[in-house]
Amino acid sequence: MSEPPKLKYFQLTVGFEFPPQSYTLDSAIVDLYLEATRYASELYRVEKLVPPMAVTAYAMLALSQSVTLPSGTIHVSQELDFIKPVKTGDTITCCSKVSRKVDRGGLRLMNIDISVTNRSSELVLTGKVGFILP
Amino acid sequence: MLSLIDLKVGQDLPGRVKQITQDDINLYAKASRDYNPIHIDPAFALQTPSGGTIAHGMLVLALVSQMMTEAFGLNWLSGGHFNIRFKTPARPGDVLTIRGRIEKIEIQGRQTQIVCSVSCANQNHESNITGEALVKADIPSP
Repeated sequence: MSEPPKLKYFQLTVGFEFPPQSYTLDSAIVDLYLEATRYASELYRVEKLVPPMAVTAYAMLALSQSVTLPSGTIHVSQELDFIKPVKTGDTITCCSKVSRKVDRGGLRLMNIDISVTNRSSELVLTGKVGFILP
Repeated sequence: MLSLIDLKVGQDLPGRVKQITQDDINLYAKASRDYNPIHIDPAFALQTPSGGTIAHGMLVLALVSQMMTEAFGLNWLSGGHFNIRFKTPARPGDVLTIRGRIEKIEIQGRQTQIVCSVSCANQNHESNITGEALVKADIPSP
């Protein structure tokens, strides 16, 4: 089945909710992330928790799979709240919503709120992503 | 990991120094599935205002998060908060220095809230990331 076409910036309005995306963070995914970030905390290697920034990376992936932002878009700010650790093998669901969109004097700003839940529908992470668009 | 009881305002967190290579960036692209050519295609990136590939901001922020994990362990994973701004992008070959400092400690009952300034800068002292990290934790019983 083909994926739905990605949205464009001009189609987004404040309050718009992107389609939720789910990912299973299995050991292959977590191990690759740990290798890429060269970090071997026992929390991840032994206790088999997922680094919170890996969860964030997948929340950002969900966003990028739903919308195409213009070339030259800059990711300028990031707020994150790590609420509950995610265990390796858990399935996360990533939701995001446009919370601010300003077009003023050639300056275009957009904030997107993100939230991630685990398989038990518990909130594990929330955040806000800030973009400046050309 | 730092002892919550012994923390002091003004205390530096154990910092980190890390060189970023194009291989690191390529591997992070695979791990995060963010294959934006600005990160992984030198020929494409050369034609953009950045003039070359740049590291994913989330890769650099992951290094700051590692420092917080080293300092606060599980408390960071279940009560951590970031509020940061991305400044200069990190480039292949950059040597990044990640720093943190305890700015405020607030105690309410058995819970403490530790506010830290955090930063990442390159070898030319240009800021890659600046901002705040906050950790909430239960104070262990004596």
